[in-house]
Amino acid sequence: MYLKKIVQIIIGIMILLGKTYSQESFDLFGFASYGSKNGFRLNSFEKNAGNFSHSKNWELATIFGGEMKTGEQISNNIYLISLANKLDKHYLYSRFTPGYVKEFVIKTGSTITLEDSTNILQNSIKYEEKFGLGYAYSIAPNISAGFSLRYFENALNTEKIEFYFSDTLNTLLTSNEKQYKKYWRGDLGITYSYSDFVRFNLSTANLFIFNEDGSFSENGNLNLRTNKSVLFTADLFLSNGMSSSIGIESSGSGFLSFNVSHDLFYGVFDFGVSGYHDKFQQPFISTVMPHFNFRNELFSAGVVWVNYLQNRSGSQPLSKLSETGMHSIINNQFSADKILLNLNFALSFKQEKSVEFVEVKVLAQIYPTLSDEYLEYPFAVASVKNLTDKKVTVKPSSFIQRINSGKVYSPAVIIPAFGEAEVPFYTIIENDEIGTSSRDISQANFYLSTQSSDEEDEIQKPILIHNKNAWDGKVENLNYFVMRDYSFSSSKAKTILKEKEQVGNSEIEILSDIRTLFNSFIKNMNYVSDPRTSFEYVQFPEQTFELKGGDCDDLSVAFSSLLESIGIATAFVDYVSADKISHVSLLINIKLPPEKANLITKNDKKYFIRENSNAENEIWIPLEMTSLSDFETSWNLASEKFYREGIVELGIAKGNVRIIDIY
Amino acid sequence: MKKIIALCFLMIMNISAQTFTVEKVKGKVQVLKGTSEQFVDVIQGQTLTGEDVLVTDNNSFVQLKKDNTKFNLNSNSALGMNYLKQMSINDLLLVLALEEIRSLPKNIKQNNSSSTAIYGSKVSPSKNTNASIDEFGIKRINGAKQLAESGFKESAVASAKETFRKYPSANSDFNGRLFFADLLYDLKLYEEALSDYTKINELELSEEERKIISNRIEKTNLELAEKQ
Repeated sequence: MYLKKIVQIIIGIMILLGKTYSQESFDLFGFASYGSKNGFRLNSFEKNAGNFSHSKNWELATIFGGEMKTGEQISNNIYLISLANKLDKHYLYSRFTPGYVKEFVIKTGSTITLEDSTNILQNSIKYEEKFGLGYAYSIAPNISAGFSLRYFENALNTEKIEFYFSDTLNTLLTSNEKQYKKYWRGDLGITYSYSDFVRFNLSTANLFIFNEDGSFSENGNLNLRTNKSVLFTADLFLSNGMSSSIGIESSGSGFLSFNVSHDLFYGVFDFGVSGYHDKFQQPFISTVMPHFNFRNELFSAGVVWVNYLQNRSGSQPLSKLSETGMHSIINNQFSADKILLNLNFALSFKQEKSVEFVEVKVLAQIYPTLSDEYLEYPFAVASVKNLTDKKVTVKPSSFIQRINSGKVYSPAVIIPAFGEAEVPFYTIIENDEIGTSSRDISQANFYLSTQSSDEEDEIQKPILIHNKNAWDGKVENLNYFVMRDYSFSSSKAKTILKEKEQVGNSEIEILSDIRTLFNSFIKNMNYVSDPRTSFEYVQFPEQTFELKGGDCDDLSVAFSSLLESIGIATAFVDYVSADKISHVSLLINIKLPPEKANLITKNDKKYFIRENSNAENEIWIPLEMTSLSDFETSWNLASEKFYREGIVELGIAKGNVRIIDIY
Repeated sequence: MKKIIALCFLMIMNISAQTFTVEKVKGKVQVLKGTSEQFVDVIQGQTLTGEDVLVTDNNSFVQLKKDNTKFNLNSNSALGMNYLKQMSINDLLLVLALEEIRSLPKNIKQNNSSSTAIYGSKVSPSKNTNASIDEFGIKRINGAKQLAESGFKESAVASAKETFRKYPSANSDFNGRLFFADLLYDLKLYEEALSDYTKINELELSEEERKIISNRIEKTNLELAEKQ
């Protein structure tokens, strides 16, 4: 939407402003792919007026090179020094261009002969781009727009003869007449990444010329031409390291580039070639520009050979310059071959991210007592993106304040090149001694690291931490409350059974123990509802003994703990009613085979047969904890409910009555 | 004729409220009510509910009436009154699924309750049969068969499944097992029938019994092949 509107505006401006021509897309970096895998800018205003860059740091760049004119020595020069920085979504760029100079010397043919010397009058024209500033803003992850400002200074120096007359002496001297034209040039550009593999760029040339100062008066044809044009480029990045770029200017000039990248010596080696077609130069492909480049995370170094296919004569008639005009300081019909060395440095050594968070979802609140739950099930899951063209092994870790004493690492996840993956986060409850009356919002920090670096990305999310008696309402998780006070429960159970007399029949000794423990346990208990809180509250067995009461969860947990602590297997029976209100009672394994059922009861509705892992059938009996009456009454009450709702009404098969083993 | 009577019985029997009146009693007929441990004699005119278990002795008989329909429980039989109702195929499938749910999850170490060295010795599954419990299991199976013969095939299978689990001696009775596996076949629950036939085939069988069960398996496999 944005892109379409901006393109329409730019094209509209171009049409209104009239004829457009001249090549502007030639720069001195060659085509060293500036794909997403490249952290350096590697191009200039000429191709990239919108200042698009993947650079994340301070970056210093320089171009040093030499021009090889026919019959002359190579002239060395620093062509460009630039400094850039990325600040969040803002990108700032500045360049100083001492080598962006073109100077012509025009011999007038007028000769002055003095007694001891001869001077030939000559004029000169000098075109200079002094410096430039650029800015870009990342509108969206795949859209960047910006502008560039460049300052130009053209100078025409005319040598003239001046005659000085006096009474005694006539003198003939030469003097210089200088004419300047200085101005600012502004351009706009926008870059749109359709995908990681395709990118488009649209930019202007000479869109705004302002603050003009001076003129060449009658020699206006010699001014640097500022005809307006539009440049459209398309970049294609293939996954095998090959890339291509095509640029078309509204003038009819353009370029085509190919590049191959290969991993080498802990970096990437690029080799490519570009061909330029300029309307004002011959032949049709006027310039071929091979280049090679090496880059890693800290620097980029490349060599570019600017090779003009037409022989450039050392001198040409002034009329030619006047007729065709000067359109580009660094690329014109008078330019000579060049060898250039490009160097780019990352000035801050902050490593480029290879992975980043797209989103983190906290899946669970933290109930400190349910400790193992967070080892088995993730409490959060993140969507993580691989920003590189290689598969990356991500090591996720997290830290929850008040819960963890240090980072907790979750299993590593491999993400394919440029891919996205779900990364689960698990945690360990190291501090479950959190207050008993309150819950609190804490902060969970999520980190991503890779094999090559630590903490490539970090994000913080709030998370609700409950107190240690809080329960998430899942009967399966009452296990944690049962196991909490095993040593207390074991000691308590042994104390109670110490006084018990043996029944004399080892086959029903377990039932006898259960009966003794139950009658001892229940006689001091009262039914007490949960406190009025917005979360489920479960007492630990020791708390239930201290408080001498609790609700069905508390009493079932405490008695189950007594039995489990001395090796008697128990299960919770969860009755879920239509209104979702849950009731919990117990099912207890008395380790008796069905053949011996008549040792405990004549009524087969009072027990349930379950098959153990050895394929042996065993008798389990139901027990209701809230009747607060003796063992036989509790057994009968529980049996009636269990048989009616679980068996007759098929509650077990339908899932309305769930048997949840404690282990 | 028996089938017609059973069909009429099915059509008019109100199955929602499980209350029955005892119409006739002959011999020793007792009821075990709710979770009681005491069998008590049944008397004519008594009302029974779905939570009761009715038991008849040798040469005994009881006739139940609900509205205008009647059901006879013959001698040497036991029947949970909750099964005296029409059950849908879907409910029967749920009952069969319950057989799987009865098993403990495989990740539970069942031996954890064997460490009660101080408080009791480990009880091994006994091979010894107990006369009274064996007898009661056979009575339950007899009751279930009478349910099936009266048209309550689904309820009969459900009752038998519970009995086989609770009374191991009934579980090893070839004819009893075969009867209810055939019922599943009649109900076109071929996969369930095949499962039962296969389990029966694992029992200690005579050659003749082995032959019968092999034929049943072959026949059921053919039905399953045709279904596919």
